[in-house]
This record gives sequence, C-alpha cells and structure tokens, in this order.
Amino acid sequence: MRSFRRVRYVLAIALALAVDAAGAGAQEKPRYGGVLTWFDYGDPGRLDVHAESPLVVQQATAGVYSGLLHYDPDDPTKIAGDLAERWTASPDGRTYTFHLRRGVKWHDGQPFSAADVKASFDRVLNPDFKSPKCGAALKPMVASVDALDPSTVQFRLKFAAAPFLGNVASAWCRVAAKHVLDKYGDLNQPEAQIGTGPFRFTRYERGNLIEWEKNKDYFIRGLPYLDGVRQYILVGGPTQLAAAKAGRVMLWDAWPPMKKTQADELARARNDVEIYQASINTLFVLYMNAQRPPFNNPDLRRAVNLAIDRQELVAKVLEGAGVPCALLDPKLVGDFALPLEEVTRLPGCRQPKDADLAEARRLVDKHHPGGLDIEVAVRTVGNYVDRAQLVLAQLRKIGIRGALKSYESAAGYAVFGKGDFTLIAAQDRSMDTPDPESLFSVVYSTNAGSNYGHWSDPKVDDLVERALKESSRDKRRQLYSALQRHIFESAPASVPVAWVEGWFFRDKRLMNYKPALTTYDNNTFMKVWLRE
Amino acid sequence: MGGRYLARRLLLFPPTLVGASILIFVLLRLVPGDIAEILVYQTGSESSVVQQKQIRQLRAELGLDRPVAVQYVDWLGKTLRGDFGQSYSQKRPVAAILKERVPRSLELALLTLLIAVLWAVPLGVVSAVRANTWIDYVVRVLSISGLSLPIFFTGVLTLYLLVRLFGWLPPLEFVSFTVSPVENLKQLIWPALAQAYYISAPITRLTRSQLLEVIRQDYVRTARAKGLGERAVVYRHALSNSLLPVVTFIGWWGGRLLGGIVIVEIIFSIPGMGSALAQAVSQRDYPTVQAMVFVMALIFLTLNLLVDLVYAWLDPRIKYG
Amino acid sequence: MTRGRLRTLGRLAARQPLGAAGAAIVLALVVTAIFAPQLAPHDAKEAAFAPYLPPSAGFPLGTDHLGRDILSRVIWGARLSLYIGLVSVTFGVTLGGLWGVITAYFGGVADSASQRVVDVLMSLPPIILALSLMAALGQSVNNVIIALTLLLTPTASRTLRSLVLSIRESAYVEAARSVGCPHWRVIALHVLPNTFATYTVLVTVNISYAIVVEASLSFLGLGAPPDEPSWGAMLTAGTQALEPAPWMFLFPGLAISLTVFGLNLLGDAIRDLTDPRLRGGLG
Repeated sequence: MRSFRRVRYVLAIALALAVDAAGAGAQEKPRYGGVLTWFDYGDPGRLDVHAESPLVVQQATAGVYSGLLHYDPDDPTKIAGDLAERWTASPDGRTYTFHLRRGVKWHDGQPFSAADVKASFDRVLNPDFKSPKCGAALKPMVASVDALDPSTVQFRLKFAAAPFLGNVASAWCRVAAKHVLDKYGDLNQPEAQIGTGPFRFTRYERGNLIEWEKNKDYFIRGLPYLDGVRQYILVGGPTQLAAAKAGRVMLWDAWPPMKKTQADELARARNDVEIYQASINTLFVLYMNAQRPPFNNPDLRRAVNLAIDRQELVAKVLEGAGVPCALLDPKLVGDFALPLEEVTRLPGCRQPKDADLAEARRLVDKHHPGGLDIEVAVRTVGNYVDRAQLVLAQLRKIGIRGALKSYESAAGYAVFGKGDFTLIAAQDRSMDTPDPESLFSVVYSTNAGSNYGHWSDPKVDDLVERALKESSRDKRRQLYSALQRHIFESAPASVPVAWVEGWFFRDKRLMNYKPALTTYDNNTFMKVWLRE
Repeated sequence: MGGRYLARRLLLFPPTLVGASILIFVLLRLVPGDIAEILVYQTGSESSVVQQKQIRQLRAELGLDRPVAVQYVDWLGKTLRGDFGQSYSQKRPVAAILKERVPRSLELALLTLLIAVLWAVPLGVVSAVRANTWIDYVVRVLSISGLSLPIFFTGVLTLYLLVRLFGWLPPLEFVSFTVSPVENLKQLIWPALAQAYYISAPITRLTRSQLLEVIRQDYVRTARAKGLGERAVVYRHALSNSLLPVVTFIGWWGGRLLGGIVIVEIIFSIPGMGSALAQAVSQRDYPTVQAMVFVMALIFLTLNLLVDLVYAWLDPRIKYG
Repeated sequence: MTRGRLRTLGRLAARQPLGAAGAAIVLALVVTAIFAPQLAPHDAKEAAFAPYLPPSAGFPLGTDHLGRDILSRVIWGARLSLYIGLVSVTFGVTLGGLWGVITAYFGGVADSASQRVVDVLMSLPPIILALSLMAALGQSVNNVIIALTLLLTPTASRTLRSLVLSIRESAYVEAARSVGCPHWRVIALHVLPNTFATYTVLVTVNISYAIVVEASLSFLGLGAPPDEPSWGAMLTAGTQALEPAPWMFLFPGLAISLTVFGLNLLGDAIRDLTDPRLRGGLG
C-alpha cells in the first residue's frame, strides 16, 4: 500500500504519527500563518451552539468559543482546563469548584468573568430552554451554578455524577458572554458570535462560506498558529469530492465520511494528502416498534436479532469500515465496552449464521406459519437505502417479507419520533460525549429521546441509572458490562448493527490536527499549523 | 394595445398569486412533520417527556398551534402589507433572505437564457434552411441529446471533467457580479452552460419548425418570386416572423428556469434562491418557502406579461382590445 | 402485412430516416419492457454478486455498488421508466388536453376560470411542486406518477386550448354548428381530429420529460422507491462512482438518452408527416 493510503484509527493516531514518515514534522517547530480550508455538509442557518444540535453548527462556531473545560488538543482523549485553570471536587463528589483564568477578554474587548460562565450554564440548564446537547447532558445532574467571585464558579450536583466533567468539556457546553446574551437574546446571528476562543468569527455568507480570523488577543500566548480558517458550505457529495480533488479543501474529517471508492479516487488525484479510516462515533441501529404487532412479541424481536447479518452489512454497505455487533466500541470507550471477542460469539453475531437463522425461522414460523409481510421504513439519506435493501434480503431468509417505505429526511424523523413505523432498517445515532452513558440514556432507556421503538426494560433503566450515579470507575465498568450483556440477551427493539467508520483525509501540510473521540470536539484548530 | 389591456392583465395577478400561495401553503402542511417536530426529533437526545413539551412550546412560539386557515389569512395579510415575516430556520426576516438570494438566481437564469438563445436560435435557423440534410440531422440529434440528460448528471459530469482534465474547479466562494464580474462569471458560467444545454433543445426545435412554416407562407413566396436571394428571404422576412413564438417560449421557460435551478445551485454550490428553497422545504421553514414561491410566481407572471407586450410590439398584426 | 403497406412504410422511412430510427428505438424499448422477466439474466433487486464488477462476459454491463447486475436493472428499468412515463403522460396530457379542448370550445366563464387554475399551476416552479408533493405523499411509483401528472396537465391544457381557439373559428366548425350539429358531435368529428398531431407530439415529448424529471427527483432523494430499478436512481448512484465505475452511470444514462432520442425523433416525424404545411423540403 502506498504511503498516502495508510489506514489508521483515531486512537492510534498519536502513536502512528511517531512512526509515520509524513508525521516526522511533529517535532518541527510550528510555523505561523496560512489559512486552513475545509467544508460543512450543510448551511447551519442558526448559530446558537447552546440551542442547536447539528454538527455544522459546531463546525461553524468551534474556534470562536472556549469552554470551561475541553478535550485536550494535544491528546483529545483527556479532559483539560480551557477557561478554567484548575478545578476541585468535594469529597462527596457533589460540588465542583472551577478557578478561572484571569485577564481573559471577549472578542469585543470586554473582560471575561465568572458571571459569563454562570449566565451561560444558567441558560442551558433553564428547564424551559431547548438545549439538546449541553442542556440535555447536564440538566439531569446539575442543581445550581454560582459565581463565588469574579474568577471562581461553583457547580452543585444533584448526585455524584461520573460523566459530569466529560459533559462540561463537551464542545456543546461553550461559554458565551453575558453582555452578548443580554443584547441579542440568543446566539443565532453572526454578529452575536463573540467568544474568547482562538479565532474571531468574521464572515458568514449564507449557503456559501464561513470565515474565522486569528484572535490576536487569545489568552494562550503564541496561539493560534493559523491566520484563519475558511469553511465552504458544500451540500452535494459529488461537489465535496470535486473540491477535495481540486485541492480546495485541506481536511475532510467530519460528516459524511468518504466512501472507499471516493477515497481511492482522491488518492489517484492527489498525492499530497493522507487518507485514513476512522470512526465517526456513530452507532448503526435497526429499530423495531415494540408497541405494535408483530414486534411487540419478543419472539419476533429475537428472530430479527438473530437474523441480521452484521458482518455482511459492514462488508457490503459500509465497505468494510465498521465494527459489527458491538453495543459500545472499544476504540471509543476503551474497557467500558465488552471485548469484541465476547460480542462476536453471541447469538446473532456469531458466524456462520446457519444455526441462528434456523432458530429465527422457527420463531417466525411459530407465530406466522406462512411468514409475514411488514413495512420497512428508511430515510433517504447517505447510504441508508443501500443498507435497507440488504436488511430486506436478510429478513426474507427467515420469512419476513419487507416492503421498503422511504421517507424524505425530515419527514422520517417526524414519523419515527411519533413511533409511527413497524421497522426502521437503518438509523445512525452519534454519541454526544465520549462517555458510554451518552449512548444508553439516548437509545435504550425507556424515556430515551432516540428510543423510537419505545422498548422498555426495567432492568436496563435500573442499570443505566446506577451507572450514571456511580463514581468508582471500576464499578461503572462492571455495571456497563452487565448492561451490555443484558441488552444482548433480551431481544432489544433497538438492534446494534455496527459502529460506523469511514474514510477521511488531511492535507500533509496540516500539522498537529488530532481528531477527537466525537466529531463534535476539538474542532477549534487552536494548535493546528500549516507546513510550507 | 393600450392601458386597458395592461390593466386587465395586471388584474389577473392577484387571484393567481393567491391561488399559488394557497396551493403551496396546503401542500407544505401535508408534508409530514413541522419544524417543531423535526428540530426535536432529529436531535433525539432529550427524554420523550421533555420532547413533547418542547414541541408544544415551539409550536406556540411560531403560531403553528393555530388553525391552518387562521395561519394562512395571517400570512396573506402580512404579505400584502409587504411583511414576509421571520424565517424559522434562520431566525431573521425573510425579506433579508430574498434580498440576498433572488438577484443571484435571476443572474444565473438570465445568463442561462442568453447562452441558450445565442446558441440555439442560429442552430435552429441552420437546421431549417438545410432541412433534411445531414447538417439538419446533426443539429437535431445534438439538440435532442441535451434534452435526454438530466441536469444533475450534466452538472456532476461538468465538475468531474473540469477537475479531471484541467485540475481546476470554479471558485467555491461566491463573488457577486458588482464586486468582480470576472470571478462571478468564472463561477456562474458552468451551471449556466449545463442548464443552457438542456433548455436550448426545445428552442432549436421550435425555431426550426417555425421557420419551416413561415418560409412556406405567401409573403415569403412573393419575396422569393420577386427574385430576392435566399439569404435575404430567410433573414429579412422569415426569421423575424418565426421568432415570435420562440420569444413566447423563452419567456415561459425563463420563468420556469427559476425553479429548475435548485439542482445546479446545489451542485455548483451557488447560494441562490433555488438551493435556499430546497433547504427551506426540507426544514419546513414555511414563511421562507411561501415567500420564495410567491416571488417566483410573481416573476413568472411579470415575465409572461412582458413577453406578450414584446410580442405585440414586434407583430403589428396583433391588436389588443 | 401486405407488400403495399410495407412499401408505404419504406417510403415513409426514406423520407423520414430519423423518424424511422426513432420508431425502431421505441419499438425495441417496448419489447424490452414487455419481456423484461424473460430478458433479464438476473434478479434486478437482489445484491447477489461482488460489487463494482466491470463489464465482462458474465455481467455484460457490470455490477453496481451493491453487487447487482446492471444489465438486469437496465432491462427492468425500461419497464419501470416506460410505465411511469406512459401512465403519467396519458393522464397528464390526455386529461389536461381534454380539459383544454372542452373549455376552449365552450369558452365563457368556465374557460377563463379554468385558465386561472392553469395559471396557478404554471406559476409554481415545477421541481418545487414535484418535490413538496412527493414529500407530502410519500415515495412510491404511483405517487411519482401523480406528481408528474400534475406537472404535465396545465401545459397540455394550455397548448391544446390555444389550438382549439383557432379551430373553433374555422369555417367547417362554424358550418357544422350552423346546421344544428350537437356539441359533442362537433367536438368528436371536427375538433378532436384536428388536435391529433399536436397531441401526439405532446405525448412523445413529454414521456421523455417525465423520465428525466423522475431522474431529477431521484437525485434529490424523492423519486420512486430507491430499491426499484429506475434509470434515474441508477444514474444517481452512478454519479457517486464516476471514476471507479463508469459503467454505473454510462448504461442507465445511455438508456435514458436512447429513449428520449427515440421518442423525440418519432414525435418530430409524426408532426412533419401530419402537418401538411411542413411536407417536403426547403428550396
């Protein structure tokens, strides 16, 4: 394999850089100057990072703001202070005190203080304020936020919540200026993009481009290296690829990933890029509706769980880029995930599938001797339709004859959210933070927002709750292991098919760029620089 | 031809615009999901109880909880007073969006028409003058080939070939014509070409058939009998007359073009009205869609009126009462 | 077929070589569509083979990104695309045409009212109309047909209306009416036959329009259900692999082009043959 087509995984990047010939520059002295170019897959429209959830909103504003904490740009698996210089936790784990940097200025020259932190977190914690990422993650655990003095903030928690620091470090929990919030009421418009981050928001041509310019008064002296960042808004897949091939973008590390064929095409067109395979931190889920026939019957849910050939789906539709069967991906959450050796031996995952298929057919026959006809829903987005066609073929093998019902993207969400479907062939769910909690409370709890099939299992709810409130990491690990085993055993309505991966690239001149565990984090480019 | 005709035609505008706006209003509300549901469900991070509360809240905020008829009358009333309301998805006045987007799409449509006419009319003339010769066949095959490829395909292929053959791509940053005509054209010429290829086919065919028809009419025979050269007959007499229906057609297509540019705008990433409209539909941004469709219908009607006026001016035989 | 008829056909073909070519293409298509189950070597929906296989003896047109035989999909696609085209055009052009003919013949309030409806439908951008209609109705072959019908009706209605307006004033219609011929008879015997040429051209041209619009809807993700082997959906998938698998766009693209070609050439020929003013060449 040629050097520029090296396949790597996110977690291995730090290691890989050391051996990588192209990465020898890691020891080079960073160079100042240059403008980084990349693209957004859509027009964000509204820019309020507290109130919105699409990745493009994060991409559009990431470098403009700072958080209290963030995932360390030098090692994005670690939590580090951003506006907080240091922090302490009380022994009972229910009070966190953050000591803020002094002398930090907003982009408009106003001084930053604890009042801004309080205003920002009060805003996302307000029960009447829709804050789908930061608010959704923190509301269940935070009781109150107080500014003790201009440079000290204290968070009181409802219980000792293990994911608390990780949630605060999320790129969705940015600190906005109180005076800006007071003036504009929200952060939707370009003129309200006043942060303390390494870049200033300078231009938003709607539907076309977003520009940041170096913040010369950034609170870390000497940073950022780049003069600016420019992101084009490119909606169509062919357009994105053409821009990459023509050298107009230096980085492709967000949604959607390239397909294998696109990556090969790019490799032929440019030899100044490094192409790598990486996770996009997204679980491919197949949903059954547990509230209506036939899948209110656990036997039929079990049949589908047994019949779906995860390996085939990964090989054929994800072009080999994915981790089949796993509920949690060890690459992303380490030992919180069950070992893949264990998972791939479970019924439904194990190969060959003959025994599982026979059992599945028997289960279907038991209730529907002539087989049954169902409607299979899918949104016409990305490769979902391709996945759905393969799912249909796999279900036919056990006597379930599906008819495809495709939905325009947004219409699909409306229909799924209302539970108006029988089976959803493919729907990806991304983790909001790299904590396992983020997946279970969003997909598997009874009241989870993306539990479209309304599957309800008291033991799942109990384990999710206990793992959330457990502060010992080791005990959390045990709880999550038990939770995963329990879900695998109990014929869930949300079938974990695979953790999705894809191909990405970065220009070889682009140095010190380290993708974080979620696509949302570490997009500030504060320490990224461009080689000549 | 006079003020009365113009007044009568203008009187037809309001009912058509109201009809068009009712149609799109109803259609949009038949599409599953409103912006409240979509925003809440596509995020899917908060508990289902919170989701229901948020949907109710958002609907109340945007007035979507009122009866549809009330919403429509409210919208129409405001629109008639020149207030297009606030965009749901951009949280700013729709008028600002229109001001940004409409001129760009108009420019693209105009450029497309210009290229199409400059290329299609002469081809149609050649095809008619040399009817049933190999030149005629080549021209007809060429023009039909334009009709047979969907614009999205021609567009994607254009992008691909530009990169493949020249390692070059039109600028991604949109620059308006007033800032730099050269940069602007570098960007717009390609989508305009792709579209012109498609719409030039009917223009060529119409020019050809009209010219063939006119050439057989008496006054042309007379002209020919008087011993005028073939060239003079065709260009002086036949062409000017045969172009009338072509003008009508172009006017009609020009109006439709504004809607058709959705696809090229997406492919060539032109931030015009088409791409904004597609996005607004997918986000159920009702005020933006309604205003844009309203404006498009208005442009369509105006263009048609203009074409009729030009028609009357070109052809003195036509008298409007 | 008698020798005399054959000779007539031969003469027609000699005078309209393009038209004859068009007729041949259309005939081949119709045969393909009818005998799709017999002609297709493999299942069109089953992803049974290796993906991205280039054309070879086993797969003359290669396989697509999921490992489906493209030849079989193109063949089944002929059936689907012609079905969508024919049905929507028959509904759109015939109903729209009749609407235009009748309202124009009787004139008056009904005519001007119906023209306002046509105005409304025509003033909306067609792709937006189709897009929101598909989103509202959901994606199915029949809904594509409904959307296309709605796009085609107003144009057909307006075209035939203006034609009938002039026929209505013609001497023979006046004469028929003055001797007390009932309206339905006048329409059936004197008006409709005179619209036949225009009607045929509208049909042939619009079938190809329908096929191309369906393809565009597929590109926007709102065409026929994506597992159906529609040429538009295949072409859309092909644009994702222009370079690595050119056969994926080439063959459905060729199929669409050929169809549109055939229909348009046939339409032109019919118009030239039936319109007496256009007989013969120029100078």
